[in-house]
Amino acid sequence: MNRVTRRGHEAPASTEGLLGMAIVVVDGVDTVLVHRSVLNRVAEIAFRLGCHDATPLVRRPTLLSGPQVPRFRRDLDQVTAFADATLRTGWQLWEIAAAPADEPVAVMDTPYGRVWVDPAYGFKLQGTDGGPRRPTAVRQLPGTARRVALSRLIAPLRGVATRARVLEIYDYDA
Amino acid sequence: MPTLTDYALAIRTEGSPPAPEGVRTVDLVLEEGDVISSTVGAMRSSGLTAADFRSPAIFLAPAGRHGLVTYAGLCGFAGRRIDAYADGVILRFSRLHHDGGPFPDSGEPDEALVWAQVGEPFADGVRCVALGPSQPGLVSPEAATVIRYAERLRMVPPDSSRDSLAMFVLVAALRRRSDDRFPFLSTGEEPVPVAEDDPEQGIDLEKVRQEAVRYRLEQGEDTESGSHHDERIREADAVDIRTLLRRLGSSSDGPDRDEWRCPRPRRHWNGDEDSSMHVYSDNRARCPGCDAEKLGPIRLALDVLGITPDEAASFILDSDRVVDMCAVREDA
Repeated sequence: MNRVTRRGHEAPASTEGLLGMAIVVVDGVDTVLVHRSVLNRVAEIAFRLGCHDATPLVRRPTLLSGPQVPRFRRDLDQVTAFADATLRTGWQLWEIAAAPADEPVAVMDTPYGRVWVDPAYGFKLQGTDGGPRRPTAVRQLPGTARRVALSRLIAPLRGVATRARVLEIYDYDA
Repeated sequence: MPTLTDYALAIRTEGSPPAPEGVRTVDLVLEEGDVISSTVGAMRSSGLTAADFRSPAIFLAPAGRHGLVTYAGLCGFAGRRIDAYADGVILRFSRLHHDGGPFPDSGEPDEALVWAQVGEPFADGVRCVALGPSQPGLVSPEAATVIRYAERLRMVPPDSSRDSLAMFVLVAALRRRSDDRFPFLSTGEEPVPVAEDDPEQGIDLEKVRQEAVRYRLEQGEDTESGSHHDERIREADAVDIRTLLRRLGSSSDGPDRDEWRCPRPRRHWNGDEDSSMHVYSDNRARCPGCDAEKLGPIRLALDVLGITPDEAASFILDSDRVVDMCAVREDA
């Protein structure tokens, strides 16, 4: 996950072109970027399990403070256990991770076209000419796309929530 | 918005529009004779298999309402609603929830309602209700009661293919209980029903569905992939249900007690603190407040976690994670 500063939400070069992201602000200072599809999957599972302190993830902007934060941590643990036990997955390529539900989600705009993540087929580059291709030509996305456990995609959020007293989550597009 | 080329399989019948190039097409050629056996016979001779519906599939509906019979059969065969293309529009029924529970009704009628009708023209001698944009919330509570509780329902759909399919899917959702209960496809001009099994009330879409389900089950007996899937489900169902209950956060009053706390505490006003779930010697369990019948491990996991049978099998066989449904309720 990319670390950025909250002040002014200025995007460093590494976040250029990213789409559909949300920024997690911890105690007003430290932040991580998570794709909104991951937050949406977490909220869906939380709703299903009755973990109501994690469902606000889908209603951004959201602020969690006081006793909400430990309950949020506990609910994230429940969601992680469920995701592991039912083998829920998402996709990761370089530092971009997304967990689309039924429809592909856009993750990045590049000079070669827009990069999408399809729930079944993973990353694809939709250029202005021709059909979708693998995003191997995109210099900003080195490496190989992998299907990864959803719990791994939730891990950065769990990590920052562990030490948080106040959590704020905003939609963010670089 | 999806397009027809997003589908891997297009199913046509008599009068259907052509499928786009590059999409595999199956034509259901209806035979002469009884409409129910003709519909299922067309599915048999087309070579359709349950595996075909693992990929996105769409029914290309002919104009008018007569595509409903084929659509009902396809829903039965696929075991779910499939998308339809009607009057130039893709209807994404596969994304809708099968259950019409969220539509409120005005309560169970005092007297048994043997026959009723939904759709116009209204007929004399039969309890009739209407659906549509003129009704509050699409379905009025009174109409929902009639559709949901009538033992037999005649459905008189509009002439438009698109509207008739939408009406059918809505009515089927409202009538669904533990399984589907499709209506009769009627014109509204049939005679007043004289008996529960009156054959003069139109085409029994539920019978079409059941025949299609029977055909699918016959196929499943012969397929190796089906038996592998069933083997895994059987294996998961053989796991001690007490182990599953513990992994769902439930507990019993003592090591040898058969009374367990229901892992669906949100459905109990007191979170089921009095442990109403009973575990039986046949490795099944039942909470009288939540379950109409005893459930094995797979069905219990399905209901508690809202997952598919495959996911339930994975949950039971491939993981030891605890999803504590009871702890969640206590702080809520």
